[in-house]
Amino acid sequence: MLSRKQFTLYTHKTGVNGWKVALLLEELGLYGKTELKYLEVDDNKNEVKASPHIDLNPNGRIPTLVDHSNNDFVIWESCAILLYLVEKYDKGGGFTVSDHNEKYKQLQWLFFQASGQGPYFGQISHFLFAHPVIVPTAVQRYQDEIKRVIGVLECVMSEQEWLVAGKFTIVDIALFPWHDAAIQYYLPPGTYDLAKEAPHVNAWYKMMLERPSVKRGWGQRDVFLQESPFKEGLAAAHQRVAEAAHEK
Amino acid sequence: MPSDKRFTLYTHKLGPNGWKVSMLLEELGLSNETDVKFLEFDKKEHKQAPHIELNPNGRIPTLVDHGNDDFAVWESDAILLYLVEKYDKDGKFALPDANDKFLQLQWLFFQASGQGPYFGQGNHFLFSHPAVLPTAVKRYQDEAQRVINVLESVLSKQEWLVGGKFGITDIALFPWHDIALKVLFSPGSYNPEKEAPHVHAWYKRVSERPAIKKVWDE
Repeated sequence: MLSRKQFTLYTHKTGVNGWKVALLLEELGLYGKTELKYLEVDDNKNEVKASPHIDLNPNGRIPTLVDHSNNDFVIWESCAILLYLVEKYDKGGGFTVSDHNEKYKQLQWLFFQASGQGPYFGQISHFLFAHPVIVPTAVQRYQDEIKRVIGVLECVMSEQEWLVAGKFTIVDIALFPWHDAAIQYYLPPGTYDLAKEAPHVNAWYKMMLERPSVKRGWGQRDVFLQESPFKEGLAAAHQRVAEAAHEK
Repeated sequence: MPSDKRFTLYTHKLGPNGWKVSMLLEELGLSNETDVKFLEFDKKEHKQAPHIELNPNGRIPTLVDHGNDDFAVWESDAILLYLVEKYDKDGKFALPDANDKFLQLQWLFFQASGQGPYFGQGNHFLFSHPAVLPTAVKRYQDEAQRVINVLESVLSKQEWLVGGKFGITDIALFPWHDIALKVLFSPGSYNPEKEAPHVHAWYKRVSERPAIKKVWDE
């Protein structure tokens, strides 16, 4: 199917990883050149695991980017997409780094996000909402890991303002969405005070929330979240886990 | 502490992610230039000085390049990319096509986000979790099969994932795949030759490479 825009981005309204790419497209001024396809997943259908998406991305997970100005080149994995976009379309290097060592520090932090933040934070979502039984020790495991990961970031940010190259980069874009989800939704309400536990991470987080791209893009996700049953179900999910833990 | 070798590699005797780096060092002929420090997890050496000062995340592997002002880099896949960029003099792992470089990143992130952590959670719930949670174990075993099926869907159409040849993507995927077959799936429950024949052929090809055989057998 022909698209008149430069990119097609297969994504999801509330799925966290797709928004990383949306935020960068906004920062690069490419959001208007992107056709967004919000794939739907519910009890009756799973467009992420069906054609046409699965033909482009055999892993069947969003986001997937198609660059029509590069022979319809297809790339998936959100962090790989971030790297692709800055390499090809961030000619001024505003969101990436050129120094050789910093380039590898950037990769290091992106892999940290992809392997150590996203998947672990995502498991909480699964065990809170989707697991067939309530398993409080599993939820606890991943909540503890959220705090550990924030602790790692705090350790570094207490000594330097930015993780890489002394400036805002795609590393910050990559880390922000799951961090926000964790702080807002995944820890039991009232049990974790970011400002007290990790003041430097908190300062970084507040700065990120003020960026225009984040306000617009992440703000849009919040609208989608309001339209979904997510927030209603959240308090009940935490309550169920707490009750199950208490029973043991 | 200064080392007279070019690299210091902080790693672990069993941790699969460290072995990825050891395999690449062997493929690049750099094993002899590496001072390998096996950290003991039960003594929490990975979470203490000197390791924690180099890597605040406190997870292996961590590479220090004394030939580059003691530059420290962690995250196994980032280390693989670093070593190839700086030390692959013969271009064994080079990818001349720019698009292939991005597909390589894509598969490395697939490994780092979708294979390693999920297979690792399976091992955690099998061996280390304070409670026995069969539904959690099953979740990760099922996901391991799904991941292998993703690889099968691609390898059934092409011999290698990237660039038409063996590369760091294969090194990155190999250790956890081996662990899934030997440890994660309950004995007799998964027949790789039947379920994913092209992945199995890939697995055999990789494990027969002299460098891989030498390191993995250790």
